[in-house]
Amino acid sequence: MLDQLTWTPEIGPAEMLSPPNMIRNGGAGRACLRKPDIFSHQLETIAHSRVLRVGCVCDTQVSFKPLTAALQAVRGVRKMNGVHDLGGMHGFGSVQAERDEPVFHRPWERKVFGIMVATMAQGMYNVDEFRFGIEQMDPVHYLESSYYEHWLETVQKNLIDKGLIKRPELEAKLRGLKKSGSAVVPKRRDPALAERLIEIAHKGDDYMREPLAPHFAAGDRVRARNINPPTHTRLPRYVRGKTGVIERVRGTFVTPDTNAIGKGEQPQPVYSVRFNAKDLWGEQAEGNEVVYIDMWEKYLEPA
Amino acid sequence: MDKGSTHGHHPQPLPDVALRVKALEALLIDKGLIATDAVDKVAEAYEKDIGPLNGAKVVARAWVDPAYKGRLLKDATAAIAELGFSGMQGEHMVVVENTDKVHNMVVCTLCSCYPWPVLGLPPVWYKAPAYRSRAVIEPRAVLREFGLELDDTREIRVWDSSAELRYMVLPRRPAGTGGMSEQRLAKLVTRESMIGVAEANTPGKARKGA
Repeated sequence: MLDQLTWTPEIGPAEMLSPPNMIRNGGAGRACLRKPDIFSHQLETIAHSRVLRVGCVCDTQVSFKPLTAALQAVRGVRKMNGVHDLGGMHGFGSVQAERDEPVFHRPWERKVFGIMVATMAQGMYNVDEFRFGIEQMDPVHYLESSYYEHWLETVQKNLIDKGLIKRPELEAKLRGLKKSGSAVVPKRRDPALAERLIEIAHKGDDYMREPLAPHFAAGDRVRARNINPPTHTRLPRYVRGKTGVIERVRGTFVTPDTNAIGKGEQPQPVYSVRFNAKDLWGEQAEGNEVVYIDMWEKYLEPA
Repeated sequence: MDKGSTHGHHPQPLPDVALRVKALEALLIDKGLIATDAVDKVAEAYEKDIGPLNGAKVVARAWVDPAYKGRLLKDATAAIAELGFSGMQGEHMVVVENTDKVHNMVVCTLCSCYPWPVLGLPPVWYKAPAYRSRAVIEPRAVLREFGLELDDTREIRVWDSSAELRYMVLPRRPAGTGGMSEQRLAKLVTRESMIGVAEANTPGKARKGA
């Protein structure tokens, strides 16, 4: 219990950052993502990746190389009190809602969306690695760029970190397109993959795991721990050190803090925690407001 | 904008980001990691099939069927699946009900988590820093910008989607809709009302935003 409560999602030395088992077990691994049975088997071995469990979507032998580059990148990053953590900030102006907004504003946004689904759904990276990739963007670039540009950045970063593409290849491709003037992208058809992606869109993933006994119960007073991890976390800054009440137990879920950095799923109970706005914002709080935040158990301590 | 414009004989250069996307797509196709039809079809699904009309059907059903509403508030994922809606970013759904005493609104301060199977992909304002920063600290001021003035006696509950739970608001059924069919009721349910930055439309008001 004490261990749990004093847990801090720190980055250890490189050897403690466990890449997926398939990599540890065999150096560079190869995952056939075509046949569901083989895919499932491989999923068993990708113990540290949160990937879609609904089957195979790929007709390709995908080579995964050891995550050296990814891990080095993570180790170099010590800045995760990032600009993405926006709750409670001032200065961004009024909310600008667009009438009759299209789903995508530009053809390239549509492509980025499709590429993201196609690559994540094939298990090339998990959702926490995806979010962590965005959080590692330069903060100025983050604020200046649009949502789908964030996606482009993290998809590229994750595919490079996993060794599926190389940055020089990408740069060469970009130079070639610029030179050609017409910027024609080659076409490739794979109806089976298309069908699988649609199926996944409608089936989804499952982030819940075998239930663990929760340490807290509805009505317990808890304090959000004051942690400032240098890597990914889903504990917003505005709630750290603040006291709230457990509203209910949500179930046992994969932990993003570890899953984002190759340290495994490490499932924990998640709670809906209710905070009085006055306890978050003091005198500046608007009246008669409460904020609910879903929090993993290790984000909390008894209050 | 995205395609090289051909004014006269001097094509405009593509914006850098559009070119970078093309470079990534071309490289992934060269390597056989993705396919054009797969990328396009999944995007098309969110343009044509998976959008806020799904959520509107869920809300309208809850308005006319108390037993369904009970199931929806108890186990939203299962109740929503009864109407055929499920999938990515809606695996673990929670529906929160607006009443005369309580108003709910949903935000994701850390990124832009949003219940795709019922609301589709999020609008730009939901993903932008203004909404994400302010919804938790001054929700009433944000609601005023959407034209919704909340009575001080009505508690406001803000749901920050920080984990894998995804939230949808069940708005109050508008007055004067007593005899309306489920199909007509669904037309009153806007995307904004299911995020909780608006009430559902009243019968005289044209549908907007959904």
